[in-house]
Amino acid sequence: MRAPCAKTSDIWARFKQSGVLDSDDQDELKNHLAGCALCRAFVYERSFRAHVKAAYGDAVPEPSPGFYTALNMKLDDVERGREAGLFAELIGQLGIKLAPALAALVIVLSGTAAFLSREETAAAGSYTAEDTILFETVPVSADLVIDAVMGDDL
Amino acid sequence: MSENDLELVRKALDGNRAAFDQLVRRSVPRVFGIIHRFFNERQVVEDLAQEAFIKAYTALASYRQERPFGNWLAVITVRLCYQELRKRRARKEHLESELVPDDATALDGFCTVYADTTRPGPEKQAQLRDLTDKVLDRLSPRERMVLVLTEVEGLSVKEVAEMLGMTRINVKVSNHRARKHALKILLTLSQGVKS
Repeated sequence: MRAPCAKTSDIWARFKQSGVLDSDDQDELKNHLAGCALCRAFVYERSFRAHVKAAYGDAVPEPSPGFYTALNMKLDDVERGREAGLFAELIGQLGIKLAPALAALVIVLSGTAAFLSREETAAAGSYTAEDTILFETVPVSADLVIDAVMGDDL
Repeated sequence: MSENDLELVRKALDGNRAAFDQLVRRSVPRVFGIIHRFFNERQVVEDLAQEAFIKAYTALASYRQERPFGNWLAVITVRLCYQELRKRRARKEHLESELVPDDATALDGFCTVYADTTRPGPEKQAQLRDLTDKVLDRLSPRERMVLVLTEVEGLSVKEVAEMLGMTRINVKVSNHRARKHALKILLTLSQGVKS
């Protein structure tokens, strides 16, 4: 950065020495800076930190009356979500641990069901539609019944 | 970290909400202070503060006691602010407004605030804040974060690097660029307002 004008240098030197910029110097500097970009850059650069600090200050906003209540409600939601998550996790973990047993149980049950249905089919298979018709058309006589009960022994 | 904070963290981890509430009440000034450096709107400050505390609550189990609780919470807060600045930047919500007559007064104040031994009054401070926001809104989120954390919060390069997950060299470079950039913007704006 190029050196500022002599006027600004003088004012700045006085300020650095005394730590105070009197009102005459302030006015003179302001008027000069209005028309001199070089000196503006010089002063801005040196006062930047102080300016930014002053702009943001130490004042911190206080929380509004509803701040803590709203926060607690949100934390309650987090808690509920966490509990629901834990339950789901528990179920999930149980599922993983019991999966082989459940799979085995399903296989056994389906095997049993298949076996039973096959027996039923086999039993049902001893009669055909024709037999049904035969039963319906052949009159049942007393001899036939006696034959069936006693066999050929008579 | 004071013993009490550590005890409160342990109790909170055991499910004691009152202990966490106490931690929140202790930390509110710092958390609000950090957010207020970046966002001037009260509602935004409160919303981000709540988000910071909720994040801290959910991540409490990952907190390691070698670092003070306040610093850990500050990192969470700073990163949330950074995310918000980036979101706003992406949505192009950053201000590109022209200077107003009040800014001319603030620019004059810029020259004298350095010499002023008294604290600026609320009105002057509001003008300075508006002007500074207009300048910093034109910086990248990273430049702004680094500049504010070093120049206003007074954090060391090492602290800023840890907070933002950057290397120390990157922080130094970003800070240098941010200052240069901000001064350039300030001069451009001042030329506009003076002419």
